[in-house]
Amino acid sequence: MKIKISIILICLLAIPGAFSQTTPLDAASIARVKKGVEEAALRTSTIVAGFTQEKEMSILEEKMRSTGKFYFKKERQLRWEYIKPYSYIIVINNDHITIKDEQKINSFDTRSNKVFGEINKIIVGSIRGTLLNDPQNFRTSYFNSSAAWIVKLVPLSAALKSSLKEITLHFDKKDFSVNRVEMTENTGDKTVIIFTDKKLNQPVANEKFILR
Amino acid sequence: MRNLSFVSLLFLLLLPGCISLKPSGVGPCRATDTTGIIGKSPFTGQYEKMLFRAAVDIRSQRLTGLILVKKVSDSVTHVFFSNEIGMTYFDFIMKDDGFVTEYCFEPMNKKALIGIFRTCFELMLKYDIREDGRKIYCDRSTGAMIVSGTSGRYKTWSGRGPETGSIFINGMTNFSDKTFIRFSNFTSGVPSSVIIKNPFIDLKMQLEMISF
Repeated sequence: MKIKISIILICLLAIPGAFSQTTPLDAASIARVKKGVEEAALRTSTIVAGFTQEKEMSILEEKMRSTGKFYFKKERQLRWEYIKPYSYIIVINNDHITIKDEQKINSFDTRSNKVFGEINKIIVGSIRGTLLNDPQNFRTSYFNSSAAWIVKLVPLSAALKSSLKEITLHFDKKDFSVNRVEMTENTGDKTVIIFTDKKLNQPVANEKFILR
Repeated sequence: MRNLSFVSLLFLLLLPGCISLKPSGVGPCRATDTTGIIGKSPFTGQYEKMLFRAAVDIRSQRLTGLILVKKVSDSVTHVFFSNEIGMTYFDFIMKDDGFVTEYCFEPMNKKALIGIFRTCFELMLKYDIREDGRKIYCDRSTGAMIVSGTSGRYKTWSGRGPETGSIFINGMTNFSDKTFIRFSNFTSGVPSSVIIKNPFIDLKMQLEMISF
């Protein structure tokens, strides 16, 4: 009886590990993933999705969690609409950032806010697939998991390296769109953005990227 | 001509440093009952964790996001600032015997700037005027008591502000970290709005409390 319980316990403990396991991809598979992501980027003109953002911090036991709606329109227009825990909208239109906080609107250039500029590059680059072909700025490694193709990017540029240790992108196995972006900072703190209910190539009005 | 330019530059640099810590319209006061004086930060002993929406303007640079103030023990408090997408700008640790930079985003990682942030947060969170050497003044127009003295390493002035229900704390160690703080929108003794200014570097920090 004791042996049976032990076996069941071992199996139960092993299940989550088996599901979360990742294996490195060989060269042929890497080429396939790169091609898939490039093709997906080419055929994607808009994305509308829900998102959940979780920030894990060493000083906090609980995660800081926010949810909202995400819009992307080619070439470089993004709208992050935070709904919970508070309303907040960030629009990145090429190199211009506008933030609407309650009724206050602030606009500035990505060049005057380097962190936003870098994050903008990461998010847009992961959607457009350009991050996977940027050996000057990132060292990439590819993995396979049961749920996604996983690409780990280690920043090489001094600017990004000073704040980010690693970026992990999870691509959908069917349509090669981004499902999850993980940004791990040098301090070990981590931000995870998970995209849900993705709708590709639906009409998105240009007004979505203008805040008044 | 060169001398004139130099003098003008010197004048422009020194002008913000000339703004007095002492509020205007303040004169001697014969008050004997000093129970109503503002001699402590309104946050003293009040919190375990506070989350603020934050906008920090330093000259032409604007940083927005969340500031988390978290007590990890009686003598250690973290002040953590990240942008909306979760990337950390800084993580400072305030201790009874010092101030430590746990992390600071590279472009901001300058000793002088960190020193100014130290003054801002120590006055905002730990201000506690010493009994000895303090002087009581009165606002000539409102009659409100205003106290000057020292708190830790700071020379300070504090009292009720001109706006109804507001409190101010002004403090400095030298002309470059001269800091002016206004607390307003109080609920149960806790302010939900804080504005911190340092005229020397043209810094303005606006904090709006999200949770307490």
